[in-house]
Amino acid sequence: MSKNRGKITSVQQDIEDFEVTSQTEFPHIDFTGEDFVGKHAEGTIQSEISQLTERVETLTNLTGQFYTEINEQPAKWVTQIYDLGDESYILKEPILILIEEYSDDSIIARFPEVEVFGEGVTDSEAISNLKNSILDLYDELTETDSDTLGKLPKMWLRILDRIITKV
Amino acid sequence: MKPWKNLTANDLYKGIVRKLSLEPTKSKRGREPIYWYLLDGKKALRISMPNLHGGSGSITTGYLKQIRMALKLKTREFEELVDCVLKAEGFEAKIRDRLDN
Repeated sequence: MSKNRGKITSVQQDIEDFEVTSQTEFPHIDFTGEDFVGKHAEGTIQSEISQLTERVETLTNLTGQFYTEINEQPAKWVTQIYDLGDESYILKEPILILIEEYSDDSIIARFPEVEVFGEGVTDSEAISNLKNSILDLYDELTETDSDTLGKLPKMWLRILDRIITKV
Repeated sequence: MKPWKNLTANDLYKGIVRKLSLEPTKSKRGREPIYWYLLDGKKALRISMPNLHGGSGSITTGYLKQIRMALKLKTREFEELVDCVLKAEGFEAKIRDRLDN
Protein backbone atom coordinates (compact mmCIF):
# COMPACT_ATOMS: atom_id res chain seq x y z
CA MET A 1 0.00 0.00 0.00
CA SER A 2 2.87 2.37 0.77
CA LYS A 3 4.13 1.88 -2.80
CA ASN A 4 0.70 2.85 -4.13
CA ARG A 5 0.60 5.81 -1.81
CA GLY A 6 4.00 6.94 -3.12
CA LYS A 7 2.77 6.79 -6.72
CA ILE A 8 -0.47 8.55 -5.86
CA THR A 9 1.47 11.27 -4.04
CA SER A 10 3.81 11.61 -7.02
CA VAL A 11 0.93 12.04 -9.49
CA GLN A 12 -0.90 14.38 -7.12
CA GLN A 13 2.27 16.46 -6.90
CA ASP A 14 2.44 16.59 -10.72
CA ILE A 15 -1.15 17.80 -10.83
CA GLU A 16 -0.48 20.41 -8.13
CA ASP A 17 2.63 21.58 -10.01
CA PHE A 18 0.52 21.86 -13.11
CA GLU A 19 -2.04 23.98 -11.29
CA VAL A 20 0.59 26.24 -9.72
CA THR A 21 2.41 26.65 -13.03
CA SER A 22 -0.85 27.37 -14.80
CA GLN A 23 -1.74 30.06 -12.30
CA THR A 24 1.68 31.67 -12.34
CA GLU A 25 2.53 31.45 -16.03
CA PHE A 26 -0.75 32.50 -17.58
CA PRO A 27 -1.82 36.05 -16.76
CA HIS A 28 -5.52 36.77 -16.54
CA ILE A 29 -6.87 38.02 -19.85
CA ASP A 30 -9.92 40.27 -19.79
CA PHE A 31 -11.64 39.09 -22.95
CA THR A 32 -14.38 41.73 -22.49
CA GLY A 33 -12.01 44.73 -22.28
CA GLU A 34 -12.26 47.32 -25.02
CA ASP A 35 -8.55 47.32 -25.79
CA PHE A 36 -8.31 43.52 -25.74
CA VAL A 37 -7.88 43.13 -29.48
CA GLY A 38 -5.33 45.90 -29.57
CA LYS A 39 -3.17 44.39 -26.86
CA HIS A 40 -3.40 40.84 -28.03
CA ALA A 41 -2.78 40.34 -31.66
CA GLU A 42 -4.29 37.24 -33.19
CA GLY A 43 -0.95 35.42 -33.23
CA THR A 44 -0.45 35.92 -29.50
CA ILE A 45 -3.90 34.62 -28.68
CA GLN A 46 -3.34 31.56 -30.87
CA SER A 47 -0.04 30.94 -29.12
CA GLU A 48 -1.66 31.18 -25.69
CA ILE A 49 -4.48 28.87 -26.74
CA SER A 50 -1.94 26.42 -28.06
CA GLN A 51 -0.01 26.51 -24.77
CA LEU A 52 -3.20 26.03 -22.81
CA THR A 53 -4.18 23.11 -25.04
CA GLU A 54 -0.78 21.56 -24.47
CA ARG A 55 -1.18 21.90 -20.72
CA VAL A 56 -4.65 20.38 -20.77
CA GLU A 57 -3.23 17.44 -22.76
CA THR A 58 -0.47 17.03 -20.18
CA LEU A 59 -3.03 16.99 -17.38
CA THR A 60 -5.16 14.48 -19.28
CA ASN A 61 -2.12 12.23 -19.75
CA LEU A 62 -1.21 12.49 -16.08
CA THR A 63 -4.75 11.61 -15.06
CA GLY A 64 -4.71 8.63 -17.46
CA GLN A 65 -1.36 7.49 -16.12
CA PHE A 66 -2.67 7.80 -12.57
CA TYR A 67 -5.76 5.74 -13.46
CA THR A 68 -3.64 3.04 -15.17
CA GLU A 69 -1.20 2.80 -12.28
CA ILE A 70 -3.99 2.46 -9.75
CA ASN A 71 -5.67 -0.22 -11.86
CA GLU A 72 -2.44 -2.18 -12.34
CA GLN A 73 -1.72 -2.41 -8.65
CA PRO A 74 -2.74 -5.88 -7.50
CA ALA A 75 -4.69 -6.59 -4.36
CA LYS A 76 -2.20 -8.41 -2.11
CA TRP A 77 -2.45 -10.62 0.90
CA VAL A 78 -0.28 -13.09 2.74
CA THR A 79 -1.17 -16.65 3.62
CA GLN A 80 0.57 -19.74 4.92
CA ILE A 81 1.10 -23.11 3.28
CA TYR A 82 1.66 -26.26 5.31
CA ASP A 83 2.19 -28.85 2.61
CA LEU A 84 3.76 -29.06 -0.85
CA GLY A 85 1.15 -31.35 -2.37
CA ASP A 86 3.54 -34.30 -2.82
CA GLU A 87 3.90 -37.05 -0.22
CA SER A 88 7.55 -37.49 -1.10
CA TYR A 89 8.41 -34.08 0.30
CA ILE A 90 7.84 -32.71 3.79
CA LEU A 91 7.61 -29.05 4.54
CA LYS A 92 9.45 -28.76 7.85
CA GLU A 93 7.62 -25.60 8.82
CA PRO A 94 4.75 -23.58 7.32
CA ILE A 95 5.89 -20.87 4.96
CA LEU A 96 4.41 -17.47 4.24
CA ILE A 97 3.50 -16.80 0.64
CA LEU A 98 2.17 -13.72 -1.11
CA ILE A 99 -0.99 -13.74 -3.21
CA GLU A 100 -1.55 -10.99 -5.81
CA GLU A 101 -4.83 -10.50 -7.65
CA TYR A 102 -4.58 -8.33 -10.78
CA SER A 103 -7.26 -6.32 -12.53
CA ASP A 104 -7.16 -8.72 -15.53
CA ASP A 105 -8.38 -11.45 -13.15
CA SER A 106 -5.07 -13.30 -13.04
CA ILE A 107 -3.82 -14.43 -9.66
CA ILE A 108 -0.18 -14.93 -8.77
CA ALA A 109 0.99 -16.85 -5.70
CA ARG A 110 4.66 -16.36 -4.95
CA PHE A 111 7.41 -17.20 -2.54
CA PRO A 112 9.58 -14.11 -3.01
CA GLU A 113 12.62 -15.34 -1.12
CA VAL A 114 13.37 -17.98 -3.75
CA GLU A 115 11.76 -16.11 -6.65
CA VAL A 116 9.19 -18.73 -7.65
CA PHE A 117 5.53 -18.24 -8.45
CA GLY A 118 2.41 -19.97 -9.68
CA GLU A 119 -0.39 -18.47 -11.72
CA GLY A 120 -4.06 -19.31 -11.76
CA VAL A 121 -7.55 -17.99 -12.20
CA THR A 122 -8.29 -18.81 -8.56
CA ASP A 123 -6.05 -18.49 -5.54
CA SER A 124 -6.12 -22.25 -4.92
CA GLU A 125 -4.96 -22.93 -8.50
CA ALA A 126 -2.20 -20.34 -8.16
CA ILE A 127 -1.08 -21.86 -4.83
CA SER A 128 -1.11 -25.37 -6.31
CA ASN A 129 1.05 -24.18 -9.22
CA LEU A 130 3.37 -22.39 -6.78
CA LYS A 131 3.89 -25.66 -4.89
CA ASN A 132 4.85 -27.36 -8.15
CA SER A 133 7.26 -24.53 -8.91
CA ILE A 134 8.89 -24.81 -5.47
CA LEU A 135 9.37 -28.55 -5.90
CA ASP A 136 10.70 -28.14 -9.45
CA LEU A 137 13.22 -25.59 -8.22
CA TYR A 138 14.22 -27.76 -5.25
CA ASP A 139 14.70 -30.85 -7.41
CA GLU A 140 16.66 -28.96 -10.02
CA LEU A 141 18.98 -27.27 -7.54
CA THR A 142 19.65 -30.43 -5.55
CA GLU A 143 20.43 -32.33 -8.76
CA THR A 144 22.77 -29.65 -10.10
CA ASP A 145 26.51 -29.48 -9.48
CA SER A 146 26.85 -26.60 -7.02
CA ASP A 147 29.91 -25.31 -8.92
CA THR A 148 27.61 -24.37 -11.79
CA LEU A 149 25.27 -22.35 -9.58
CA GLY A 150 25.61 -18.62 -9.24
CA LYS A 151 25.15 -16.60 -6.06
CA LEU A 152 21.34 -16.40 -6.16
CA PRO A 153 20.58 -20.07 -6.91
CA LYS A 154 23.01 -21.11 -4.15
CA MET A 155 21.10 -18.92 -1.72
CA TRP A 156 17.76 -20.40 -2.91
CA LEU A 157 19.11 -23.90 -2.30
CA ARG A 158 20.21 -23.02 1.24
CA ILE A 159 16.71 -21.68 1.98
CA LEU A 160 14.91 -24.66 0.44
CA ASP A 161 17.19 -27.12 2.28
CA ARG A 162 16.09 -25.53 5.53
CA ILE A 163 12.37 -25.96 4.87
CA ILE A 164 12.07 -29.11 2.72
CA THR A 165 12.96 -32.73 3.37
CA LYS A 166 12.71 -35.41 0.72
CA VAL A 167 11.47 -38.73 2.14
CA MET B 1 7.89 1.04 -28.24
CA LYS B 2 5.25 -1.57 -27.46
CA PRO B 3 3.70 -1.06 -24.00
CA TRP B 4 4.68 -3.95 -21.80
CA LYS B 5 1.09 -4.91 -21.10
CA ASN B 6 0.61 -5.76 -24.79
CA LEU B 7 3.61 -8.06 -25.11
CA THR B 8 2.99 -11.54 -26.50
CA ALA B 9 4.80 -14.84 -26.01
CA ASN B 10 6.38 -14.38 -29.45
CA ASP B 11 7.74 -10.95 -28.43
CA LEU B 12 9.27 -12.46 -25.31
CA TYR B 13 10.94 -15.36 -27.12
CA LYS B 14 12.45 -13.03 -29.68
CA GLY B 15 13.39 -10.24 -27.29
CA ILE B 16 14.51 -12.30 -24.32
CA VAL B 17 15.11 -16.02 -24.89
CA ARG B 18 16.94 -15.68 -28.20
CA LYS B 19 18.65 -12.39 -27.52
CA LEU B 20 20.03 -13.42 -24.12
CA SER B 21 20.77 -17.00 -25.27
CA LEU B 22 18.81 -18.41 -22.35
CA GLU B 23 19.42 -22.05 -21.59
CA PRO B 24 16.30 -24.23 -21.29
CA THR B 25 15.88 -26.53 -18.35
CA LYS B 26 13.40 -29.29 -17.62
CA SER B 27 10.33 -28.64 -15.55
CA LYS B 28 8.93 -31.89 -14.10
CA ARG B 29 5.61 -30.57 -12.88
CA GLY B 30 5.05 -27.16 -14.41
CA ARG B 31 3.49 -26.56 -17.80
CA GLU B 32 5.61 -23.54 -18.65
CA PRO B 33 9.19 -23.76 -19.91
CA ILE B 34 11.95 -22.58 -17.59
CA TYR B 35 15.21 -20.95 -18.69
CA TRP B 36 18.50 -19.98 -17.07
CA TYR B 37 20.50 -16.89 -17.78
CA LEU B 38 24.17 -17.81 -17.52
CA LEU B 39 26.79 -15.42 -16.27
CA ASP B 40 30.44 -16.50 -16.44
CA GLY B 41 29.21 -20.02 -17.18
CA LYS B 42 27.13 -20.19 -13.99
CA LYS B 43 23.38 -20.22 -13.61
CA ALA B 44 22.51 -16.73 -12.48
CA LEU B 45 18.82 -16.03 -13.15
CA ARG B 46 15.92 -18.43 -13.54
CA ILE B 47 13.07 -17.31 -15.77
CA SER B 48 9.70 -18.95 -16.21
CA MET B 49 8.24 -18.18 -19.64
CA PRO B 50 4.72 -18.56 -20.97
CA ASN B 51 4.02 -21.37 -23.39
CA LEU B 52 4.66 -20.50 -27.02
CA HIS B 53 1.25 -22.01 -27.75
CA GLY B 54 0.02 -18.69 -26.40
CA GLY B 55 1.64 -17.23 -29.54
CA SER B 56 0.24 -13.85 -30.30
CA GLY B 57 -2.10 -13.68 -27.31
CA SER B 58 -1.32 -11.17 -24.59
CA ILE B 59 0.27 -12.37 -21.39
CA THR B 60 -1.31 -11.49 -18.07
CA THR B 61 -0.02 -8.48 -16.15
CA GLY B 62 0.97 -10.63 -13.20
CA TYR B 63 2.97 -13.10 -15.31
CA LEU B 64 4.82 -10.32 -17.13
CA LYS B 65 5.70 -8.74 -13.81
CA GLN B 66 7.22 -12.03 -12.60
CA ILE B 67 9.36 -12.29 -15.75
CA ARG B 68 10.50 -8.69 -15.34
CA MET B 69 11.41 -9.26 -11.70
CA ALA B 70 13.26 -12.49 -12.51
CA LEU B 71 15.35 -10.48 -14.98
CA LYS B 72 15.99 -7.79 -12.30
CA LEU B 73 14.69 -5.05 -14.57
CA LYS B 74 12.55 -1.99 -14.11
CA THR B 75 9.46 -1.68 -16.32
CA ARG B 76 11.12 0.72 -18.75
CA GLU B 77 14.24 -1.46 -19.02
CA PHE B 78 12.09 -4.53 -19.61
CA GLU B 79 10.31 -2.79 -22.49
CA GLU B 80 13.67 -1.74 -23.92
CA LEU B 81 15.00 -5.29 -23.70
CA VAL B 82 12.03 -6.77 -25.54
CA ASP B 83 12.08 -3.91 -28.03
CA CYS B 84 15.80 -4.48 -28.82
CA VAL B 85 16.87 -1.05 -27.50
CA LEU B 86 18.64 -2.79 -24.64
CA LYS B 87 21.17 -5.22 -26.11
CA ALA B 88 22.54 -8.41 -24.55
CA GLU B 89 25.76 -6.62 -23.54
CA GLY B 90 23.85 -3.82 -21.84
CA PHE B 91 21.70 -6.35 -20.00
CA GLU B 92 24.78 -8.25 -18.82
CA ALA B 93 26.31 -5.04 -17.43
CA LYS B 94 23.12 -4.28 -15.50
CA ILE B 95 22.92 -7.81 -14.10
CA ARG B 96 26.56 -7.81 -13.00
CA ASP B 97 25.93 -4.55 -11.20
CA ARG B 98 22.65 -5.69 -9.60
CA LEU B 99 23.90 -9.09 -8.49
CA ASP B 100 26.97 -7.54 -6.92
CA ASN B 101 24.90 -5.13 -4.84
